[in-house]
Amino acid sequence: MTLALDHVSLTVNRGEFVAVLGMNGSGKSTLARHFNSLLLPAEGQVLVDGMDTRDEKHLWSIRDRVGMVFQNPDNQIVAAVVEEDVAFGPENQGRPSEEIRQRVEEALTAVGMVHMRERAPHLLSGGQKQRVAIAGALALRPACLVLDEPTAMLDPSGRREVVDVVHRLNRELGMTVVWITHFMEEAALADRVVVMAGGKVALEGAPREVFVQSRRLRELRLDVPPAVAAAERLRARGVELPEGILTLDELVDALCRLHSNK
Amino acid sequence: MPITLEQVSHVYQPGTPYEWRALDNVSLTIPEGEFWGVIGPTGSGKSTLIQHMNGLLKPTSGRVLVDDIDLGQRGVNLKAVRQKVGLVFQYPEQQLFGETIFEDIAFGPRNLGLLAGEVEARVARAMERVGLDPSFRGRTPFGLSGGQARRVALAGVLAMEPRVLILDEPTAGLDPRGREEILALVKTFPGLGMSVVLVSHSMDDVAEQADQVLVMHRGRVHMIGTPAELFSRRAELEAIGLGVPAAAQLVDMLRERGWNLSATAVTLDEAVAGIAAALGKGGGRR
Ligand SMILES: Nc1ncnc2c1ncn2[C@@H]1O[C@H](COP(=O)(O)OP(=O)(O)OP(=O)(O)O)[C@@H](O)[C@H]1O
Ligand SMILES: Nc1ncnc2c1ncn2[C@@H]1O[C@H](COP(=O)(O)OP(=O)(O)OP(=O)(O)O)[C@@H](O)[C@H]1O
Ligand SMILES: [Mg+2]
Ligand SMILES: [Mg+2]
Repeated sequence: MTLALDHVSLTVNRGEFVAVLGMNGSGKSTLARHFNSLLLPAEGQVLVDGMDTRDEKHLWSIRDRVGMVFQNPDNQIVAAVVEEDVAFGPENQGRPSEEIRQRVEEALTAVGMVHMRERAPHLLSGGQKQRVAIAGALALRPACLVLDEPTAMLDPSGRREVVDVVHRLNRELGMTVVWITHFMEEAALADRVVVMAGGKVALEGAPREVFVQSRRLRELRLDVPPAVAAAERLRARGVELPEGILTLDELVDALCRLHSNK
Repeated sequence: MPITLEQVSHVYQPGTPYEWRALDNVSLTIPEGEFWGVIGPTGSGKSTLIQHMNGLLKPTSGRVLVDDIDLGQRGVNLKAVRQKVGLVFQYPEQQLFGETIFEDIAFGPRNLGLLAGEVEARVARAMERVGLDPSFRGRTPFGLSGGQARRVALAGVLAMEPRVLILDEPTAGLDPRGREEILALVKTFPGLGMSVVLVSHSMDDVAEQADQVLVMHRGRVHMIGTPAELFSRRAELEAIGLGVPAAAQLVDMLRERGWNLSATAVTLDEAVAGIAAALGKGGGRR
C-alpha cells in the first residue's frame, strides 16, 4: 500500500498566501481535501481554527471557513443558470437576498463573467466553467480559500485577472489562500511555497529560498519561473546578474542597470 | 492527410434561448504533416473548431474535408475518420471508462479488430510513449491524479495510430517536466508524417513547436502566422486577452526600455542569446 499523504506536518497561518507545488500524483489535491474535511486523515490530525476535522459537529463551521475550488470545474456545477450557480453557496448560508445579489455581482465581475450571467454553466467552454467555479467560491467569502489549479484552463488575461483578484482579497480582506499550481511564476508571488513529493513535504520556504534550488526542483519534476531560468542562462554566459531575481520586472531592471553601466 | 474547412459556421442549440454562434465562417487548410498551434481567449471557439475536424460536430453551414473527403456527404464512414483523426479532449477524465487502464487504452485498437497480440503491443508502446509506468496497467482509471489521467487519455488515442493528432490543452494540469515530455513527444509526430493540431493557453507551448499558429477570436480566424510573426505582435495579442511567451515578453520589455534587440525571439535560448550579445557577452554560443 502506498500513502497518498505520508506524515505531513504543515501550518497555514491566518492571512498567509501559500502556494503548493509538486509533480503529478504527489498528493496536492489529497492534501487540499483534508483542509475542509472532504477527506479525513487515516492517521494524525487536521485542525482548522483549532477544530478537529474528524469531529462531525464542526463539519459545517469548517466548510464555512474553508472554501474550495476544485481541479475539474465540471464537478462543482450545481445550478442551471450561471448566476444561480454562483448564488448557491451564499443562499445556503441563509444570507439576505440583497447581500446575495451584491456578492454574485462582485464575484462575476471579478472573473469577467457578468455578461454570461444568464447562460447555462454546463454549456460553457472549459475556461468559462472554471471562471464560474471561482466566482462561486469568491461569493462565499470564506476566511480561507483553497484553489486547486484554478488557472489551468484559463487564457493569459484570465489567469492574470484571477491571480490579481485572489491576491487582492488576501491583501485587503486578509483572506488566507492555499494556491495549488503547476505554474512556477504564480508560486513566485506567494508568501511561502510548499513543495510536495511522494505525499511528503519535500521543500518549504519563501519563493526566493525555494527557487534558488533549481537542481532540486528539476529532480522533483518541477522547474523555476521563466525569469529565474533566463537569469541562470545569462549568468552562464558571463552576465553578472545579482542573486534572487524572481520576476521578469526584476530581471529587466537588473539588466537595464548593467546595460547603462556598460 | 490534409484537413480543410470551407466557410464553416457552427451554431449551438439553434432556436433556443441558449443559441450561440461558436464558429463564424471559418476557412483554413492544415497541410499534411504540419504542426499547428491554436490559441484564443476562453470561449473563442477552439474546442468547437477541432471537434469539426473528426466529425464529432457537424457544421451548421460550410464543409469539412478530411483527406479531400467531405465529411457531410452521405455514406461517409465517420468511424474510419475518427481512427485517422485522433482527438484528446480538454478534460480527459471524461474520456476514461475502462475497468483497468489497460482495458481503457486497448478499447480503440480492439475495436479496429486487431489481434490480441497486436493490441498488447500497441498498448505497451503507447504507455511507454506517454511515460506511464507498466505498473499502471491493472489499475482502475478512476482515482488517478489529474496528470496521470491525461497521460492515459493520450495513450488511448495514440494506440489507434492516427494520421492526425488533435490535442485540446494537452499540457494543462501537467507538472513542468510532464509538460516538456508531452511536448517533446508531440514534436516527433510531424517527422513520422502525422499532422498535429495543438490547442493551448500556454503561448510557450506553441512557440517552440508550431509551424503555424492560428489565433481564434469570437468564433473567427483572427490571425494565422509563424510563431515569430505572431509573437512580435504583443499589443495585438494582449488586446484580445492573449499574451506572448515569456521570452518574447522579456525581449519586448527590454525593447521598451530602449534596448536594440530583434523582436523575433520566441524561445528562452533565443532571447538569452540576443541579450547576452547586446551586453557584449555574445561570443562562444552555448
Ligand atoms: N480515489 C483514489 N483512489 C486511489 N488512489 C487515489 C485516489 N485519489 C488519488 N489517488 C492517488 O493518490 C496520489 C495522490 O493524488 P493527488 O490527486 O492528491 O495528486 P496531485 O498532486 O493533486 O496530482 P495532480 O498534479 O496530477 O493533480 C496519486 O498517486 C493518485 O493516483
Ligand atoms: N453545448 C453548447 N451550447 C451552447 N453554447 C455552447 C455549447 N458549447 C460551447 N458553447 C459556447 O460556444 C463558445 C465556444 O466554446 P468553445 O468550447 O469552443 O470555446 P474554447 O475556445 O474552446 O474555450 P476554452 O478556452 O475556455 O476551452 C463559448 O462561448 C461557449 O459558451
Ligand atoms: Mg491534483
Ligand atoms: Mg476549449
